Amino acid sequence: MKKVLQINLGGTAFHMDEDAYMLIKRYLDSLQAFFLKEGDSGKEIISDIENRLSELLYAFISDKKHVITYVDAEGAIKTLGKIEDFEFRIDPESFTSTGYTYQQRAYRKLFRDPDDSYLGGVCGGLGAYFGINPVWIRILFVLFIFPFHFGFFFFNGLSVLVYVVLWIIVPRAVTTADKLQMRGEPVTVENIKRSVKDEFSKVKTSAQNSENLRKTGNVVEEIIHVFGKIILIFLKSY
Amino acid sequence: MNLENAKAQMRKGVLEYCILSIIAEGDAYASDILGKLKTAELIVVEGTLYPLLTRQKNTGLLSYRWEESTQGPPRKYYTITEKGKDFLNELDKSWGELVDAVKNIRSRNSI
Repeated sequence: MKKVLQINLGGTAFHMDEDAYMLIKRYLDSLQAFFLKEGDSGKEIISDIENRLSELLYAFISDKKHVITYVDAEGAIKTLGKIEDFEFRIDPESFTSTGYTYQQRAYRKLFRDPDDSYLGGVCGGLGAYFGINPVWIRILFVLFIFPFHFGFFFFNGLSVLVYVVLWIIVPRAVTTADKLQMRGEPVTVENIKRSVKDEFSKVKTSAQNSENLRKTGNVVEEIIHVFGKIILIFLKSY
Repeated sequence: MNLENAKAQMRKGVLEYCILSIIAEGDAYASDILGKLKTAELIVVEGTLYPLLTRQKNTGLLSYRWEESTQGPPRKYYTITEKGKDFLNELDKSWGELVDAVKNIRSRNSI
């Protein structure tokens, strides 16, 4: 049993399964990321695509079937094409000078990183956002799991709670456009293509399971390494 | 300059030329244009067309009117403008010149 939402897409009202809605929303949000830079022209393009999406979805509704399912949404998006497959999205002629600088300093958004995750990719996402190795963030989380005090400082051990909250509220990077935004890279045709290729080769070169096992070993190693250093620093200063 | 870029640049010019050409033959919806491109084996994803069409419209090469549809929202029905026709003529000439030049050069090299 699923929750159903009532959505207006291109002027038509649809009943959609919640997961279908999320998929479509994610798709349309990525479109926004590209085309809003073009101003009114961009809004028109987005509107055309929404209308076409609406038309495609309408075909799935009949007397016997009143609700748009995830599979329907996937089908409609597949027909339109994935954002990465849209060619010539960026129109150089439409940039004003402010538009240009907007593209260079790409917009950075916090996502959870599914390609760098043990639990929910929270640390991976935070690492990508701040541009630091997620290992440090993992160490911090692990460090603060238990309350402890150290000289004047008293830490409450809120790690688990904070992690879970972030896991719930931070969205997962699904599309390649998401992943680029997560790292603050400008979302251009070249970057998308390169990123997609990187993701492919990551999946090809290692079975996820064995990689994770090895990674866990490495992380534990690194954590112990860092703990060791901290202890050494203590010993030296006392 | 990498291969992907080189191909993309070729495609962009050709695609815009073809779209204009198809609409010049007869007023069309985006899906009609897609169909004709497919028949000609020029494969594009639907999403590629919408930005190109809108930009050509904004440059004044195309215009559209809304047509009601029983299958959902109203659709844009595109026509070529006078300016678009002139533009197309120029593109025809340019294309002819380019094709001849390339044939000439490639036949000499025969690699």
